[in-house]
Amino acid sequence: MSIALSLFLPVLFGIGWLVIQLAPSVAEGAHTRQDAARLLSLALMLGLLVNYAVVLIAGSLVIAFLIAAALAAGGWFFALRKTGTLRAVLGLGRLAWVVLLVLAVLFALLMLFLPAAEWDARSIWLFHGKMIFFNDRALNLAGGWDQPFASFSHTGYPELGPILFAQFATLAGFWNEYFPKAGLLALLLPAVIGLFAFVRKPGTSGVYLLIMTVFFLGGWLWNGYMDGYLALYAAVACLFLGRWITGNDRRDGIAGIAGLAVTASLKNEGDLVILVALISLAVIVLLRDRSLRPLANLISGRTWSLAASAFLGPIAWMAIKKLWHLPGDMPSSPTDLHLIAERLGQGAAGAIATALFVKAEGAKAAGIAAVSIVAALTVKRRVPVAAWFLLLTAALYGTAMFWIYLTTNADLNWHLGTSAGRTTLPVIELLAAAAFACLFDLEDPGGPAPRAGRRPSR
Amino acid sequence: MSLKSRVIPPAVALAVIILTVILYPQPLNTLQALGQAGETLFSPDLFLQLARQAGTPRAGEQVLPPQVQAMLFLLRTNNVTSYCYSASIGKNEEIRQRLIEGALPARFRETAPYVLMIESEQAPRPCRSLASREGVLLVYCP
Repeated sequence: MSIALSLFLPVLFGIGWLVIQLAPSVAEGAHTRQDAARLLSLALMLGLLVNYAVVLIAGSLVIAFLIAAALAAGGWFFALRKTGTLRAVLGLGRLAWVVLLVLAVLFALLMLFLPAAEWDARSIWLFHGKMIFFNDRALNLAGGWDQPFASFSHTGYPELGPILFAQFATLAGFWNEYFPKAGLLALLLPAVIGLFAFVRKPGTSGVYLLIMTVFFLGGWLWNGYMDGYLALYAAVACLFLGRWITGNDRRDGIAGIAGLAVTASLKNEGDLVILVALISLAVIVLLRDRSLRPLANLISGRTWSLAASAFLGPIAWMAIKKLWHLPGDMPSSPTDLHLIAERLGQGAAGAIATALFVKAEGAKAAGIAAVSIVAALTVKRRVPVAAWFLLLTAALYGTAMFWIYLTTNADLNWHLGTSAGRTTLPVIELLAAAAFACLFDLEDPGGPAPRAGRRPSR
Repeated sequence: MSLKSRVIPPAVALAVIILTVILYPQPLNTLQALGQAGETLFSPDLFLQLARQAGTPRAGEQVLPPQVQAMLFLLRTNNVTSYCYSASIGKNEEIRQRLIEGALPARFRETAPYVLMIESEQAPRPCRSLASREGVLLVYCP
């Protein structure tokens, strides 16, 4: 147990740092606390994603552990070889480390001391972890992925969470309803560190960001569901992409791409997050620059290899799904015009809107974003471009969810009742991120909107 | 930096934070849960008890429905590695899913000779009752 808990961060960092060596310029120029947080978060996200890819490709957790250990050793070799690397990466500032440590300990206690009790956590995510653990610590067909007994668990869903559960259980040497959930810590910390890349003096906007992400999601981050992490990583990824639009700093772009890759490794909805984020990015860049050329600069040169490493896992899982004939689990028929007409005639639009915006409280987040926009317009007479990007992404994601419910193959009321509270989380988080972008810009005395690495805050 | 530009942004952010906390109860609920978790650090006996629990194989199965706990007991005490269940158990989605995920590494197999049934159900003819617990029956059908 203690081995798993003490080693996962150094191993993930080592793997991630080795991957970063594919494009060493990404690691350069970490002068501010925000730069350090971005770099550390990026290394940990890449570590998570490459670890995921290694398990999927190797199939065996034991072999994957050996490969991961070798990769991590390589990463630490590079990190220790160059003087000042660790200082740059760990330079988040004392207060940030204290907050991070307190949050990590308290969340770890809740993950470890509360048993996995809720439906999807047990029937999907921990069940898949258990299937890997009790199949000789291997992810292969012998685990029963294509067998009818497991079909209720949506075996085609992405497996980053279950693989982490199985890895922690393997290191502990047993399965129970508590300890495998420690794998959630490996998901929590890279995202929270990523949030610190947006916290600067006076820090009030940063407090809002932490409240609306970590504290708002709360139980979703320790109950074994992946929905909270999908929403958290959607927000982190889009915050980085929003800052990339503003500052054109490629390091923000690559951190955003890594965040998007994590969403695709967590849930099928991650693919939707990527789609709407890319559409929003294209629209905003096109409107601002009358050209899509800046998008080409997002990934160019050697940063391609980082993006490719980040998406190795999701691509490997897509290939495995196809090879094993696992279900795609599309819950709706989005082009069924007859169904759409029938549902609209039954007043489904009102029912869906009520579920998403009133019961799931999406309207409140929209209201808070509206207040922040009004404040930005009143005080600064502008809304930062990052906020427009985040608003558009939230709107597109919300619209897509609305459409999925409208064309659901299941009973609409049942579908809404069992999932709207979870599926609205990314919309709420993206709206909260948009509000944050306005507050962050307000704190910037006269300068352009959110920009990293330009304002040392030590 | 003027006083205005130093005071207004944090004040706006503070107002938005207050609005958020008024509209959404979740952040305070999380704070409360984290606080309760933190209290365990200052109560060594409770902390050790919870830590021991987290380090015990199979611990935490009390969250499963009592019927499922009985089923797992029957499968384990009879060293069953593959099992199937009666139609009435199959129809109860909660019991079925909790059984299948809880019973691993024992797996559901449609042709398995070990069958879990509700005691009130009639066992097929050549089947032999092996054990029962809390209204659940494990039968062997060669």
